Amino acid sequence: MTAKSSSSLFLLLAALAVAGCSSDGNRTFFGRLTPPKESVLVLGNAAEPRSLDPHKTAGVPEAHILQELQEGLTGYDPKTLAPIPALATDWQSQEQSKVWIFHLRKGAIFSDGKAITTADFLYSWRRIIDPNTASPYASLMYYVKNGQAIADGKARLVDPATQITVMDPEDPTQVFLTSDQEIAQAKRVVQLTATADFVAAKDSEHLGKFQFKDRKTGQFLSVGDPSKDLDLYVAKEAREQAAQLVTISAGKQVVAFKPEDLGISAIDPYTLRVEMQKPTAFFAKMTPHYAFSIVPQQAIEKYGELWTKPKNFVGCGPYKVIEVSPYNQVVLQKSQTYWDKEHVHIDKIVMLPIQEQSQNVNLYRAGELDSIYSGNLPSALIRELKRYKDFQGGPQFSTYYYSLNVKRRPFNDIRVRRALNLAVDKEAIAYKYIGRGELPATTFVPPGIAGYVPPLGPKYDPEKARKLLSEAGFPGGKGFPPITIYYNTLEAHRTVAQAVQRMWKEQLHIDVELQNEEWQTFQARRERRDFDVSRDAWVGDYMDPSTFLDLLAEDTLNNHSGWADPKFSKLMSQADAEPNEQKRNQLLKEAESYLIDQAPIVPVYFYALNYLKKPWVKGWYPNLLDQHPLKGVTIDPDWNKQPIAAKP
Amino acid sequence: MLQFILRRLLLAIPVLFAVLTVSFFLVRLAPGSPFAEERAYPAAVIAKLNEKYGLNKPLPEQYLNYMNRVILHADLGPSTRYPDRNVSDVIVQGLPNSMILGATAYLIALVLGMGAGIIAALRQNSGVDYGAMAAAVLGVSIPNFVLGPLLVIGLSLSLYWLPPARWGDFSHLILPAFTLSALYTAYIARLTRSGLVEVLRSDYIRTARAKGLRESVVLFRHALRGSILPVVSYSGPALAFLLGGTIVVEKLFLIPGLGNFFIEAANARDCFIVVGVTLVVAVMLLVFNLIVDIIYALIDPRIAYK
Repeated sequence: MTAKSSSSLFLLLAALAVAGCSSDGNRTFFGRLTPPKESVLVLGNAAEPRSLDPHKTAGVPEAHILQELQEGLTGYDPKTLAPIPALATDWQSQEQSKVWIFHLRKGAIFSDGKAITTADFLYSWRRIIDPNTASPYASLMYYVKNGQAIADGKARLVDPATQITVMDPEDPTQVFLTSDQEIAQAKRVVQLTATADFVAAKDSEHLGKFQFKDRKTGQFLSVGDPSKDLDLYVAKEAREQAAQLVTISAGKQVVAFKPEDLGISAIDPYTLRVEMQKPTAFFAKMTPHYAFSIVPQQAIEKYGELWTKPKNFVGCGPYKVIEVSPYNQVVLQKSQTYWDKEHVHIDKIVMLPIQEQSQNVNLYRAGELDSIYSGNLPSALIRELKRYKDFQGGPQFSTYYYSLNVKRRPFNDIRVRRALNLAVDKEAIAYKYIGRGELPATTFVPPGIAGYVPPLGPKYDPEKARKLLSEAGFPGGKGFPPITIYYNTLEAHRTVAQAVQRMWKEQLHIDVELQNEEWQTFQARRERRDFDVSRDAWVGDYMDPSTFLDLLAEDTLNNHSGWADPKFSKLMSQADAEPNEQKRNQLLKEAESYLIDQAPIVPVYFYALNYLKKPWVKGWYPNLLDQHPLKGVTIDPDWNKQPIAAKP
Repeated sequence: MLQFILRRLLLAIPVLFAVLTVSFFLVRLAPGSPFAEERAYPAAVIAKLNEKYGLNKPLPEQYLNYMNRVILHADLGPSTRYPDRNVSDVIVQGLPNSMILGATAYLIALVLGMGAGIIAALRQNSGVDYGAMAAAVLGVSIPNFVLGPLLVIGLSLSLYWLPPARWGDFSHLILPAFTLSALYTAYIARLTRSGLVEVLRSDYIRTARAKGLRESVVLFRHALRGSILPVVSYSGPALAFLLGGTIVVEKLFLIPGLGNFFIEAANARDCFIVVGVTLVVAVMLLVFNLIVDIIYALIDPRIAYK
């Protein structure tokens, strides 16, 4: 017996309990209706926070806590998510968004009394980009000048005589990036080219790659560190590039990028200048993200990794942490040193790390929870819970899709990928099979970004799908290899997989197997690309299409399909370099249109918010990122004495 | 006696060694990584973290390093998932909660179970006996993951008498302790009844009665002492399991105990926590079994250890 089997039984019983609730035509509230006597808000927050150091985590539950503990330049508007002043009072972009200037608030202090100045931003932003910090969200800092070069441990070449930095021959606006390791490897490749044979690799895993073979012994030679048996395979172009690199680096000084090279500087203690890698018109929209918040240098240097313990904690946000009880609760208390404490109305916040979705419903019903963050209700109960006034829905900035492994046959054939995409009836899945408020997705970026009009995705068209499949050599599905859809064990994933399985069988006559796996096993399989089709999802970090499209621009661990297309990457970097927002959005739309046309992924639906909120919680609004700054949230004990306002 | 205890303690060493070894390799060989996230960390970050925790080394070397740390430095290692925690922190925070829950459940089981068993034995083959033993059969056969939710629906979600889950004050303890105790209550009731029924028929009880002793003295001083041996021997492993954290009940009632931590750590491949918690549970099993054997000798004059 596992905890999972017990939880599904719990769910069944909870379902009986929900169904047993009376609902007499009028919509009623769900469960007990006793407002808290004290100024304490109890929230269902999905999972145990990994760390309270904003540079050591990338999780959603952590985000809910961290945005209350540390502030950055800006915060989220609770309704629109637009950046609003926090530690910065105002900001402007200069030089067509290549430079941003932020004016800091005077008088803001940390909870230990230390004044906040630009020095804190220099320290914090350099810390997150430092490869030694190993921050999972360092990539958000790549937009700032030299960010990626620092994180990747790259170096630049400097002429020792003139002190001039070598620029990239292909893009003279950018610095030429390399590293000691790359140069050493290039030198070895050049040396081997002169002394060894260059032969095509024989095994199927390294098709198209080459190896160096010793002329005398017939052994294969390593191009990297010869003591390690690595780097035996090189691409054909690598020889040319190596020769080029050896030429360029000859006589030059190799200067490694350090965190201090990040493009931020202090004009004075209250004016921060941020230089971007490329013009970044949407940079201000990213800054409410907790990765950009500041951390207390004084506490980190004193306590090291243990600075996040409540007894050592120093913060600058509306709340400070006073208790972390593992798998039990995180308790936050209103900070008396916060610059805007007049607008912080609730004294204590209790965050419960409840993973069992049915437990959220039970505790909420018993009146032990005031609100639950979205996505933590059992799928099976959502239709039922929608009848109550507590239920909150709305669009969410998140997409559910299937990744097709383009490195495998037959998914390397674009016609097959298109056919599979066209044969999935997304409307049926979103409305009929899932039906929690999700919207069918034919494109990747969810709707709702101001100024961005997504392209039109292809509609469900089984006829055309069959035609494409037969063009690809599988008429009527004949000869199509049996394929497997992998998903992690969860009811909703199975529902979708079964629907897709049937659609592909009925429309394309191809055999599809379903395989569910425990989350870790599934995740490991997805990352090593050992799948045909895999369930996938992405949540946007900030309100711009690039937070989705960048995912497929490079071959990273999150790009599960393995699709990397130079045309797409080029459109993306063109968009990045475009200072005019309208033109940029047009380029992004072009890029997304191309991506959908290439079909490395099958978009299925856009997620919808689903959560419960007690009627006395005011100032908590549904929004695309499910971000609810607690500053401004109030508990109204007299909620039922006034006419209840219409749902926002 | 001392020699016996010493020998048992010496025997425990290879057992614990094997427990450490097997659990270490099981968790390290399971697919997945302590740093896996739905939104994958960049490869460079994962490499850095693996290096930090020594997980980039070959597995045998990792194992030797770990054993070296545990045995020579008495250090159970860090949590790979939570940068500001280490394994001993986690055990120190989780074990007391598990022990409070387990001890309460055991006390309930002992009082209710022995009470029911004694009454049933004294009123053998009466309605009370059949009733108590039917309840015991029910208690053994209803799994706690059914009983718990049923109690929650009745007492928490309909009557609002007790909180449905969480941990903190006495009210949070009642439902999980009863849920956890059901199986043990039922078992102890049956053990007590059968033991007592047998002893009550034996010669020395007849002698005691013939001496004209009061029935209560016969029962409590003579009969019970002989009949609770099965209960005592059952209590050793039962206590070890109860106090070491019970995964299902802790999960059902969101109790921050060792069982809950263990399952979370296993899911997250937080390897050192998994091994550390396994070690603690193994130590408890060994200790309680040893204590039971000692108590055995104290209660029953027929048993002597050499």
